[in-house]
Amino acid sequence: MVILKIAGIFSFILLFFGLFVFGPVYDRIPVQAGVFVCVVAWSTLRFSLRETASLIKFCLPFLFTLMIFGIAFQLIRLQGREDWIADTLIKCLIFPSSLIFLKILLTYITYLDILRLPVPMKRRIDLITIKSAFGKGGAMLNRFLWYLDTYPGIFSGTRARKLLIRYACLVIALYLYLYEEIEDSNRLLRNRYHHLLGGRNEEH
Amino acid sequence: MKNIKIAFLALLVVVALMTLFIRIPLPSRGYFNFGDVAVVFSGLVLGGLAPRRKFWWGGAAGGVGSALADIIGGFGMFAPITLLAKGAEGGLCALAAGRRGAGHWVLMALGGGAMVACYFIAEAVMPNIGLQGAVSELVPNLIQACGGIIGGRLTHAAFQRIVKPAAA
Repeated sequence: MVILKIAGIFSFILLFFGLFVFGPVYDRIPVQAGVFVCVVAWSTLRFSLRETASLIKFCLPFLFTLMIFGIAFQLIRLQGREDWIADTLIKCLIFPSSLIFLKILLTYITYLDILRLPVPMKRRIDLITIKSAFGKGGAMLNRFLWYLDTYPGIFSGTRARKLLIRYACLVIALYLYLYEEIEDSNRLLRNRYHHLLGGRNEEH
Repeated sequence: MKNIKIAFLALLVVVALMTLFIRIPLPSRGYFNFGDVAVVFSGLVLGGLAPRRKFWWGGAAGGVGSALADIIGGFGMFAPITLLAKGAEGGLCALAAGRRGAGHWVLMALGGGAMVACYFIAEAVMPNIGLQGAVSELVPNLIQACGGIIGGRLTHAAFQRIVKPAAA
């Protein structure tokens, strides 16, 4: 039953990407706009309006740069093409749609579903750890940037230096945070398995 | 779980998130991003941790993380190329870890060069991009490769100074 559920979810994801990202309706703006509205409505029902807004906010810096460059490319008619604005609009709709869609679908795979998978416990623990790491990493990214912005002392010098320090700090902070999180959650899971379920040390 | 596996999972997520985070679109419908810093960093960290198969650990973290970001971010048509290009970059940077002097920098430069070459060849044969688009992306890709190598190397140097040995 669990396998059917997970296979169904991944088939749905493949269908979505096959149709709207790689497929025949990629360049149809009204369809992409409709998909975006549906995905936002679904996200609002599944999570909340606030969380949906924060997901869209996460996409905004990229969408902003997309628009700027799309307009600039259109103005100079780069490579002789006239469809830069349309292409930009499609991307601006696809990016948040696919991001939110994937997030919604993956939340339907619960930790209990993973635990019921007919695979060795070691693999189940690995899968739970990966799911947990993605969720925690995404949530912490903006918070780390906010913390970094509260340290004006390290942002002196040229623009390139500021950018480098900001993102170097972000990479290191995110890595260290995730390393500890994965290590802790993995230790806890294995401990629970051995002591509560009487599991043998099958992963060794 | 072994340290190398924990580090691999953590770096896979870091590469995917950093690639998704800031991106500037390019003429060939691709984009310029800061994920390369994370790819080089992950290669160097995993290369330092792995006793053997350094190339595969570094390549898997860089390639899979970046390809995942492509798929999530709506640039799915680039995902297979990204898997190869960033995989080669991460793998060669992992081989560079632990080496000193010219060998270290040559392997890292080869990693950046492999990334640029993979994208150039793939884009040149893609019907909706062609040779013209591939040529126009050479300079941005070279800048990205150089920025990734310098940024990733400096980030790794800073990381080595502050971190406990288990994660480094």
